[in-house]
Parts: sequence; structure tokens; C-alpha cells
Amino acid sequence: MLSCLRSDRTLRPLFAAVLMGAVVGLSLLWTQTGIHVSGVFALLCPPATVEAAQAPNAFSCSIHSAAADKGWIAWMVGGIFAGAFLTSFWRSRGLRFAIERGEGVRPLTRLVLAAAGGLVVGVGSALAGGCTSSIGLTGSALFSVAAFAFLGVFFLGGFAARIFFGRFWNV
Amino acid sequence: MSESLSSLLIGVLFGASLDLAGFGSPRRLNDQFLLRDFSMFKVMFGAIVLAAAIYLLMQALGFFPAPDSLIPTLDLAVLVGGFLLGAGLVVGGYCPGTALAGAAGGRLDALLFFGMMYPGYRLWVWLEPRMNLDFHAALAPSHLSMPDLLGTPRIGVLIGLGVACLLGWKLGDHFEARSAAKRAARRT
Repeated sequence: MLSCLRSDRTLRPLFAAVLMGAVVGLSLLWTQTGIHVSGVFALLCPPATVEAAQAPNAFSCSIHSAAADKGWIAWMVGGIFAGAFLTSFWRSRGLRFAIERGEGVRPLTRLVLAAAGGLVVGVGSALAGGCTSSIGLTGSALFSVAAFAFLGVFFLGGFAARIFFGRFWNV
Repeated sequence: MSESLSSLLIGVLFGASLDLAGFGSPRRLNDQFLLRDFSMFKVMFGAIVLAAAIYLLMQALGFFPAPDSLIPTLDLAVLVGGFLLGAGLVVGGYCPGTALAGAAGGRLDALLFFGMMYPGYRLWVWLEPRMNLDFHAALAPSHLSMPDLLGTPRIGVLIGLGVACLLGWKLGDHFEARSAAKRAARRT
């Protein structure tokens, strides 16, 4: 019988998709918010005007959204960290600190690239008004045209960056 | 149950699903763009189809629909932002959710990545009003969904997505087998 786990105790894609799909579905039915991560930064960036808070994408993790009624995002982000910590602890039988990098890539180079990538993703999240979880997963599960377009350009951006930066991930 | 507690529980489940999918590892995420491991495509697309199916079923059983505001409006900001998120994932190794999962697994690069998102976020807040370009002009009607665009019932769109997911899955299997064979040949 096919095991649902790989050698590193992660789930095979089919089982991982079932689990993640069930969680996204639950978030739509129970909290009716979907999944949000980058929106936690919007809590630290209050909107400039009331009109801006009523912009079309206002509910998403947007700089145009009203910060006051979105404290739940901080709880969700804390939960994501806690959930990933618990399963990672179980999988690795403990917590090990590391800098994960491609073969032959120096730790300092990896950290510089991680910082640069974080900066780019921060700009992208603020600009799009959301991230892979909120627009990509949640929006697509609701059949949003914008969400599918987002996923299309997301993969396009990744393949474009791969032309130069892919070599840092070769193993 | 309070909004905070329900959000926390959803977060715990989602964080566990990210880590169990192996998405805390930047190498596994980037193997997608090197066409070596299609886990990211398979899990994301599969999760979208399943979540949509659950949501449609529950709607049919009378559950309240999610607010329209959860359906983003198509504009230049979504397109440029999405492109930057994809590019940033390859440069830095993560997207926002997977960076959290990576940091929770003890990856210091993930922690740095997530921390640097905030200056990036603030950079755009500072920059946007200074740019002479309206990124938020709608390119399509507000909250447009695929069934409205295609004039197809939602179940039809779900079936279409399911078929596309299966085809993509098979294509992924093909690329994974080809890549594994190449690497095996290189080793011998």
C-alpha cells in the first residue's frame, strides 16, 4: 500500500492537497475570511483615508484596508507559526537551526538573497493587496478571475527569476 | 467561539498543512521552477479544487456565502504584485506563508526573509503616492468570477478546473520522471 508519507515525513502531494484544501474550505465556511498572511503588515500601516478603506480590494491584505477590525490576522499568523512548529518538531524529532541553501552556496550569499527576496515579496504583497495564500489559494477557491490571473503571473515571475537565480538552488 | 480563537485554530491547521506539504523548505519550493518537483503546483491546484468543491457543496446545503470582498478585483496591482511575489520566491526562497512555516522549522533564512517583508511593505506604502501611475484602476468588473466571465454554472467551472488539475498533475509527473532520469544518468 502506498504510504502517505515521504522519507522526510512530509505528505505526498495528493494527501497534502487534501489537507490544505480542507483547511482553505474550512476557513471560507467557518471564519469566512480565507487564509491571510501578509495582511499582518497592513495592521502596522493604517489607511490614509476612510475612502481608501472602502476600495474594492479593501478586505484583502491591503494597505488600503482598515486596520482596526483586522486583529484576527495576527492570531491567524501566530497560528500558522505554531502549527508549522508543531509538525516540524514532530517530523524532525526536535528543532534544529539552519540556513537552508543550494549546494555550493555560501551562508552569507544565501542570507543576502533571502533578505532581497523578502524585500521584493514585501513590495509585491503591498502592491497586490495580498499574497499567495489570500489571493492565490482563497481567491481561486472562490473562482476569482483576478486570483487565477495572479497565479499565472506568479508562476511567470518565478520562471523569469529562475533564469538568473535558479543556479542558487541547484543541488 | 471568538473571532481570534477561530482564526488561531485555522492558522494552526494551515501552518501544519504547509509544513507537512514540505513547503517550509525553500529547496522543495524552488524545485518547482527547476521542473524537478511539481509538489507546489500539485498541492496548490489540488487544494484549490478541493476547497472550491467543499465550498460549493456547503453552499448547496445552505451555508452562508463568503463575502464578495474576498474576491479580488483584477487590476494592474494584482498582476505586478503577483509577478513580484513569484520572482521574490525564487530569489529569496519563500512566499509569506511558507516563510512562516520555514522559520517555525528553525530556518534562519526564512526568519530573515519574513522580517525583510516589512521594510518592503513600507517601501511600497511610501512609494505608491509618489508614482504617477494608477495601479488600482480596475481591468475587469469588480469581484469578477470565472462563472460570470464564462457564463457557465459554477459546477461546470469546478469540473473544468478538476480536469485541468489532473492534466497538470500528469504533466508534472512526466517532468519529474525526466528530471530524475537525467540526474541518475549524470551520477553514473
